[in-house]
Amino acid sequence: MRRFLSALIALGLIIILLEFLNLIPDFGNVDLSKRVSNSFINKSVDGNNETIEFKKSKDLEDGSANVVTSIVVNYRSFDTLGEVTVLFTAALGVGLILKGLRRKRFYREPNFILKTANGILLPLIFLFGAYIFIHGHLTPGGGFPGGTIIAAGILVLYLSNEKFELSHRAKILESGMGTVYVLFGLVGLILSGIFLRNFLPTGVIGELFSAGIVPLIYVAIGFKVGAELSNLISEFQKEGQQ
Amino acid sequence: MISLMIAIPLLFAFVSIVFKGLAKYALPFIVLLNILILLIASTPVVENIGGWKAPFGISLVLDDASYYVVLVVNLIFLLLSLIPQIIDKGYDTIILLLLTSTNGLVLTGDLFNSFVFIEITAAAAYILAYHRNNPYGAFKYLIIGGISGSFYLLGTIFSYVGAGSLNMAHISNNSFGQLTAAIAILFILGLGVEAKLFPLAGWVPDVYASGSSLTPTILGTAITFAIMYLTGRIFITVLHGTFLDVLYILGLLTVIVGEVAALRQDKLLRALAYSSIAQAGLVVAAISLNNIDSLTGAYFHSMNDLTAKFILFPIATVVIKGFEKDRLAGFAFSVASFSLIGFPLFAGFRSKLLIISSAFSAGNYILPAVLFFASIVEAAYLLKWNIKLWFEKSDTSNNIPWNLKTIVLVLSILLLIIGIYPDLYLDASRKIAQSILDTQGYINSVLGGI
Repeated sequence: MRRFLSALIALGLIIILLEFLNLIPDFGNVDLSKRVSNSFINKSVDGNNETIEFKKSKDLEDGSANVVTSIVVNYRSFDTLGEVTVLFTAALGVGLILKGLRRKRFYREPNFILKTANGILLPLIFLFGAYIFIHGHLTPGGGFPGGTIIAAGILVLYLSNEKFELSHRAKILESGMGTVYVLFGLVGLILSGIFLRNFLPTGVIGELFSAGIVPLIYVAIGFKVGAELSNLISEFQKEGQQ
Repeated sequence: MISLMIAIPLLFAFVSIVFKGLAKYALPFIVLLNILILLIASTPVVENIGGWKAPFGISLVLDDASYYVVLVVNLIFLLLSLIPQIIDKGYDTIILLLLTSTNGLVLTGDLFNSFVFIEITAAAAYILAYHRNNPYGAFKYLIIGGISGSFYLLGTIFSYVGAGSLNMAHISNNSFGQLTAAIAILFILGLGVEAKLFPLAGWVPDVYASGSSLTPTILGTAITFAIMYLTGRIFITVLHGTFLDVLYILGLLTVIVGEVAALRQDKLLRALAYSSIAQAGLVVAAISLNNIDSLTGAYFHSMNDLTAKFILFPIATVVIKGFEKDRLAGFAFSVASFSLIGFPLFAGFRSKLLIISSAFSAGNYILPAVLFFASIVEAAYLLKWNIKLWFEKSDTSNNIPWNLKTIVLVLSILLLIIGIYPDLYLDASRKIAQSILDTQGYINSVLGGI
């Protein structure tokens, strides 16, 4: 009876959701001028209506060439601060729940191929991760994917080396980088009275050194997410006493 | 300035995972700072984060409604920080994050931002639910909370599809067209879990009755109150009261099911958890009547309920042997339960009376009938527990810490004062109700009369 009811509820939800799908306008048929995103794309929130040229336009209200980044870390930076906090809370919870467990050991040598390949690939993985978050305001990517790639490197280290332990410094890095993000917001509050204000000049669009505090925040997020997920991996490598 | 109420606790939460023990000492000062910021602020304040003007960036809105709700939430956290014994080691950071997210949840004027803060609240709440080894309850909450969170997100997306904006005031100003029904249903599913509405509240008893006094004390008071505010804000200010009938029916069902289930419990904590569900249902039903008196009654009742629950939950977790040696705690417990039942001269009587009179003047006879039924059932089980705990023979006391004893005593005297002189709570709840109903004023203060 219980199963039947659950199936009935799930079926009802599926029908409702399929019904809702019809309400969404077709692809390409949306009047963008009625949406706030139009101003994000044209970078015209403050009323600037000039056309934007790559590597030429200077001192725009927002200097990142990647439109996703300009929304995520500039126009709606507060949401990103919140998302960073969600990940932080989740990692903290894993730490609290798995507290007091030891590192799981298999007591056998990892595969030779894995160990050798690790020596060659690890610097490249880290370099690629750093590239992704340093260029977050220019190319697709940013702090979250970059940090995840770095944490993937740590996972490879864990798999290829039975004795590897993440040092306590990863926790300090995680905490410090989160603090840096909030401090950037507070510096804006002190300098101009507005929390998370982009207080640096935005420069020429498309240059590496542009977009004000956006790349700095993305570097902080990259390190934070990398350290956080690495900590998660090290927590999940543990086992309970039996 | 009001962004500091979110930034400062978050900053300390980040720092406190390296400097362990900092969170414990910092919590009372952070909460006092928040209250100080509230005292020097004059409503309405609209702060545009990052300097982007209203419909484009994220705005924090401190109008009369969010002012009083944030004040109540911070006062609850202040009381909690004064009883540090119930916060176990390592959970201080979670409390700081919960403070951050609850403040953000109430202050934000942006739908997606409120989703982000609901996510932080929920993540912190799952961890609190796991407290004292309650894996099953926490897992159940995790699954149902995660699903409801995705419905909330879907509702936000549909609002963006319909109104082209995420700012609550801007959405309220634009129309959805045919999407209204979809958005309302998605928000009911999304908020129903946290607001403890009937078919979605199955997680509550397992989480509240896990034996930790921290979990129900904070989730059943501050978080519930913030969610009730958000429910009123979204369904009345943003959605203009469409689909409130569904909320009304769900609220009434919640009251009936919650009270009947509470009557059948043989553990005090579980009974109180079901009573929490029932009170939440009553508040939602009163909110859905959508007029000034019923909303005032709803928030007034919610405040009485959280005051009573702040007494009942901590005492119920520590008391095992009866009140013979703890007469003061027993006194507070009885006052709180009488207020919950709604005996005359206690705070709960005033708010229930207000809800009933507002329902009668709106020509509604079902809500008063359900309320009478609920009060009788409440009287039955709460009196049973009072009699059992007062007349149980015991030689030793329950080791209730002195600061908890003082706080519950002060709160119980507050309940008695509210019962005779209700203006203290009534003024605040009337301001909340007025401000939630004043859609045009909200739009004007956020968008600046565009």
